[in-house]
Amino acid sequence: MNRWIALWQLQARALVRDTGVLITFFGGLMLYALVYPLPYLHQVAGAQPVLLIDQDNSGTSRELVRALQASPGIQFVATNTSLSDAQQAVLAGQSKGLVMIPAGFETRLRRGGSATVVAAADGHYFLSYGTIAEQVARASLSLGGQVQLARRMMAGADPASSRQGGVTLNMVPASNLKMGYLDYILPGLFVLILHQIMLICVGVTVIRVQRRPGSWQRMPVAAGLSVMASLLIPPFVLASLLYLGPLLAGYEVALQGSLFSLLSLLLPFWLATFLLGVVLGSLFRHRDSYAQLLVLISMPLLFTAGFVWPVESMPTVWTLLWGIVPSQAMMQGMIQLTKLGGEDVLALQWTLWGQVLAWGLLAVLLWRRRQEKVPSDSALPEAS
Amino acid sequence: MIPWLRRDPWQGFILLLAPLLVVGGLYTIFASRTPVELPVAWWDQDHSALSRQLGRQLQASPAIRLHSVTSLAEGKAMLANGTAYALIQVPVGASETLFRREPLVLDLRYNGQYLLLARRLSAPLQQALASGLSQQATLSLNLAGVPAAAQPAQLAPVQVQLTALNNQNLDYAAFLVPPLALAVWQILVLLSVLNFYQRPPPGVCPRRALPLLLAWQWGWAGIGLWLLSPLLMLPIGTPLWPLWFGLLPVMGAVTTAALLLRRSGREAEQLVSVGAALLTPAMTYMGVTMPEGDMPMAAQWWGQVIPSTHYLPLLQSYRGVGEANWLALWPLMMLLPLLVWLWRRSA
Repeated sequence: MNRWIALWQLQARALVRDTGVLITFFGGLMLYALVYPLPYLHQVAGAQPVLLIDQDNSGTSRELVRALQASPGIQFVATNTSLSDAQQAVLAGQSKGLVMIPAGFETRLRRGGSATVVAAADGHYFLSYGTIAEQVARASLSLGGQVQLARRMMAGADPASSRQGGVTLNMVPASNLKMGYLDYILPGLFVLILHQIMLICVGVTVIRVQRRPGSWQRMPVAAGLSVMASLLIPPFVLASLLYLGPLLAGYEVALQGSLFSLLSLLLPFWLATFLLGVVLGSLFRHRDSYAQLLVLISMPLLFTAGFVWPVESMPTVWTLLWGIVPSQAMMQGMIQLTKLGGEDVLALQWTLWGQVLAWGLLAVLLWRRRQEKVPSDSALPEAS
Repeated sequence: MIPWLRRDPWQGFILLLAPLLVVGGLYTIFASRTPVELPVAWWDQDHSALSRQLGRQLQASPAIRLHSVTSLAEGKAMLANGTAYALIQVPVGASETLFRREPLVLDLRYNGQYLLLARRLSAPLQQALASGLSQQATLSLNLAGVPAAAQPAQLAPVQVQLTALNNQNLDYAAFLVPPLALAVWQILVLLSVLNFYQRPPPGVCPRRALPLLLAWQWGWAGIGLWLLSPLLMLPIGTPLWPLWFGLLPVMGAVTTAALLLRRSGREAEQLVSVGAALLTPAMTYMGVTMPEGDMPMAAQWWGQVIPSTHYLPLLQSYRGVGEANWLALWPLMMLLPLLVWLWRRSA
């Protein structure tokens, strides 16, 4: 026990002097908590710049224009441009879309026929495209409803019975009620940030410890790993509680699900991530190379987590990551618990505990191998 | 060069394999281009010809795969577990209600937490249901004696013709992979320059060899543009080389950042951490996912610090009309004197 405490004290002193780890932990956690959510603070896309071509110039076309102007997603930035100029402006990205009301729009409606509104939006920006499409469809539907009502009344129908036989599609979100971008991305993203920073901190510490001979070689593997775990896991327990608690609440990301279920996932997540960090750190010689690996895999991990892109449309090989990398199961669990209100996370818990076992065995093997491989020379100074 | 890369296999990986592996890997995620067969829970309490017709219409949509559920609890659980992206309920007596010409409400709940998928599903769900119901409405109009030619105008007096300009198929790979590749490339440029000064080739002055390294990375940019050209969807006859040359100021700015970091004298992994903090959020600041105009002012300013933010609008414009205002890269070009100064002083 005394040897364990001595090693702990030695490693603790080395850790607080390790500016690389400290900068990554404090700087990374603080900066990423601000930098990633910042672009999405407004949650939804607001008024998109749209060009209007009103070739009809009638009362009905102006009514449609007023309905479009009143919608939150469209702002007409120019009117009466030619169709080809407007098209060119959208293609060049100077405007996000165009709405054209063709000549004869009102006449067709008055004659009892149907009229078409032409809308086009920039397909390079899905959020803008979706916003413009939705607003034009709504305004047109509203105008269409008025036309139908007017026609029925002119045919002598009672206004009270004009809803006869109508079908209303009550289409509402069951989660993320405001359809906000922060609510959508932040629970998963915060888990990924914690995962990556924990992997970097654990891995670079393991590289620092293992590249020099010292008392870590003379200790049993379990003792060495437990010293590292006791030093490196607690800061991330605190960081997780901060990130997934007050910080998410600070960004007004509404949480559901029980704290107990969340903790039942977080516990194996911390252990599995720590052990994966030990395994990866044992395979690298340079701390900067290792940190670079984690920078490069961040994007694939985010896009294969299942909430940006559906698992059903992903090649099977990517879904294997779900069984290997702790962040993937944890991101899904976090989304289920915090946003969807689901409590059935048993499969995810088993996945994470399985990873604890698998990465744990591999960590023990590699730690032992490094103990034997690094020349034991007590004359050399201790790692610092 | 080979002995150097054998001595520093990580730099070998960054220079030789990483661009293909990371960008290629990201492409494979979106290789299906558009999500298809998204699971939707279908709770049919009516069991009528009408509800079966609606079910068939939904099933016929390539975006939708129906999963029948027998209770609200089952459907709710599927939504909560993320195994279904939407739940549709056809209530008891739906068909009867319609035949009596009484108002009918169809409940549709979708998982807003999967934002892009919810948006992707929204249109096909509405179209499939509208198509199924319009058959009933047509029947009703027939009974009312409305001539067949006049029926479409009665059902939907105002129609919308919606067209996507640029990326006409709303292809996710074309939407996301080019900006992602740009983000990955600028990170690789930064990392390779940092590695180059950290562990330079033996017997070579890093200052003199840096242009060769940058030429190599620029070469990768050209290969990347060529490989991604099917996704770029340039207008016919538009050459790729302006896009390639446009990447030079981006590379210059990233190299300036790398040399500035190096000049700080910090340890290598600290430089990587700071460089990563600057460049890894690049994708979020490019304005692809959230339009730049809808970002808070602070985000728009921070975005200006990231070189790719300056390049992306030009790339999109070039993809749309085959031309771009390359002079808009002037903020990056302003860094050239600083780059030369840092380069001359680098050991």
